[in-house]
Amino acid sequence: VDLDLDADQIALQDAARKLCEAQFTSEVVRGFGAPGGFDRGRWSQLCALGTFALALPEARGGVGLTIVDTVLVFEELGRGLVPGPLVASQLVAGVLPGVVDGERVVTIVEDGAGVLVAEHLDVADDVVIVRADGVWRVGASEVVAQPSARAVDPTSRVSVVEALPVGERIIGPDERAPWRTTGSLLVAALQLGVGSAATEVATAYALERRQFGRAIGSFQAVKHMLADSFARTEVARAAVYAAAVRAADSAPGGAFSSRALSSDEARAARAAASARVLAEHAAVANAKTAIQVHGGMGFTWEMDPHLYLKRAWALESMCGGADDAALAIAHDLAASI
Amino acid sequence: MQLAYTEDERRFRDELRAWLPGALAQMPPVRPEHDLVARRAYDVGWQRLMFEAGYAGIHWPREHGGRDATPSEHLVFLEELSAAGAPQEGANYVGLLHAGPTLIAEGSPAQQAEHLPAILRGDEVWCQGFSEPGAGSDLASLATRAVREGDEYIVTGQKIWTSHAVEADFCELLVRTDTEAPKHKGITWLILPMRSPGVEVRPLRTIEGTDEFAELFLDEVRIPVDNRVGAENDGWRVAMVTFSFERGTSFVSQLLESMRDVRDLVAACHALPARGATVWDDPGVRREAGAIAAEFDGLWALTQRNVTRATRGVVTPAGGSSFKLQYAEACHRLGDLSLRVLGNAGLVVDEIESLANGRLVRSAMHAFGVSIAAGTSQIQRNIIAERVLGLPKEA
Repeated sequence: VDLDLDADQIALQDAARKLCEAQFTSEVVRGFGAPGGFDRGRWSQLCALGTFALALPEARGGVGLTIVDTVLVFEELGRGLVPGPLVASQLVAGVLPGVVDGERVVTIVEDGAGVLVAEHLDVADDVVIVRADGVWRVGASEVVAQPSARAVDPTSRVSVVEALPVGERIIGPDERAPWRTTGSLLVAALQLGVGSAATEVATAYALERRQFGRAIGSFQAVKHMLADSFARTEVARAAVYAAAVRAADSAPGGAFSSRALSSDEARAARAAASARVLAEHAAVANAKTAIQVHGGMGFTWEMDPHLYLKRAWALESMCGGADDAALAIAHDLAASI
Repeated sequence: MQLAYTEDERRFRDELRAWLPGALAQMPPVRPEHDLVARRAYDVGWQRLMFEAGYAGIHWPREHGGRDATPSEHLVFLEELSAAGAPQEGANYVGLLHAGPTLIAEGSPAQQAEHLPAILRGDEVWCQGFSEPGAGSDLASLATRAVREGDEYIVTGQKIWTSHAVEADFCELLVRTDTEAPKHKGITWLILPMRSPGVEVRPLRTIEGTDEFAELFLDEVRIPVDNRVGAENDGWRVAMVTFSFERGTSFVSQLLESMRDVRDLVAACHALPARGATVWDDPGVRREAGAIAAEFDGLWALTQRNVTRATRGVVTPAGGSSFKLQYAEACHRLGDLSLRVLGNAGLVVDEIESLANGRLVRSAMHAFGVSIAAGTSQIQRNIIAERVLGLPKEA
């Protein structure tokens, strides 16, 4: 058993973090949400670094690592509030051409979710549709949609979808569930990063902001909130890493399976569901704590804490949320008694 | 990163699986609860069986009778014992996990020779005399006084939360030997033989209705200076040394029990009717049960992370305090759901058929044991905030 990063993984996370800090400053990230603000140059740079190629086999132009490494990078992308269709791109990296190198931008829609809202549709080339009978692709121009003037998350443009063509099926009904589980794990990795960063910015503010003649971080009313944020993140991180290891063990190279669920796959699905529940809670709760600790400043557009909460909210609906994951765990529990 | 076990660890697991059923068959079916003498006999009986098979104190160094087990092997050991339904340490807890390791690190060769083999064999039961009515979270303010008189200390004071004091042979006792020095600098660590004149033990019933706890009254008890561990006034450091033995495994048995509670609760939900179906048909209940199971899954993963680091010699408050804080929260959450789900069955502690209602209700009460004992959740939050996040102390 080894659930800690090795030197290569530390270096990988470090490189991803440096890229985010240099290329995706708060100003840049906010710019992505403006009309026409999606910066394809920066997106291509992110792709050029192999972000979506890490887990692809070398024979297919990938780096030949596993989903564990992808998850570690996604944690950093979440921390850096990097905008763009990260999960969609990773999920179709080996399936649709042009995505890995950023030539084509894809977005993802869950059909049957009632109101259909697609992120980044205005810049997308392809739309990936998750349906009960598999995953489908349509050209973005074939989708009838209204761009929204005001997305909740100011870093991402969204469109309300009015009509979706059927399109072509790219993933069959049997592979749909593991595919979506992988997506949910990637969302959890982003949420982990969001929760982690929210704790860090709030801690930095609590050290610097003074009231009653001392740093507000000295008051237990404040420091206990931050300690809770930290502890939630620690547990969530362990769960996300464990789920990534289980996913890599059950499907080497990230291949999708059409077989009946093996015990390894069942364990991987359970681990991914637990990771999602914990990471989603950490992201939302820690972002709320960050706003609360910033006081009135946290309620302003100018400061960043609201960006963490809004990203956390936006991620909640992707590839099923924590509620779906909790029900999946309940199903697993009932099967084992 | 990998979750697979090594060849050696798998072999160790197989060895335990081969041994456990036969050993457990030699134990009485139920651990006595209220008859303290019988309970001690049960606990040390199990310890003796482990000793004879070479599994006593496996995490202790080989030169002191242990097996030098790595934290990872210790994890396997606790996992297999729990899976087989083996007894927990019970009365042997302080000896095996606290007093023993302290004597290994700080005791004289004579003290080690007298006590370590006896602890491993189950011949000696120890209790802990640290907390006092006026010294809980602020342990260093303890006031039990020890005055040197020739070759003896004369000790007077009161200790509390002394688990297994009634059955214990020895007590690891923290006393104040210097009232003038700063509070951490005037404390001494003594071995108190529990049969000494002037020692009075009064059982203290817990909210669970059991008599595990006791108060300890010390009235001019004479303790030989030879029973001092470490130097006079250096007892705080000696007591803290034990924490360096913490290797991420302290709560493993309890965590596995909590996971069993979740399974019991799910089974109870299937058996209990509600609104024309069963409680399990309520998606709100299923979601909450799933979310609680997620917490325990995450805590298991954090245990594996902490054990990984401990194997490499890294033990941080980030891992330990985060675990304890979140584990306590999850236990309370499980307790809340249990009582909600059990309904009328939650009014009795006696087990009703196969509902496990008694076990679940007692776990709901025991959640406070987790959030209060060994550093309250409030103290864990201070530790994380100050030692990990670097926030200043409250003025």
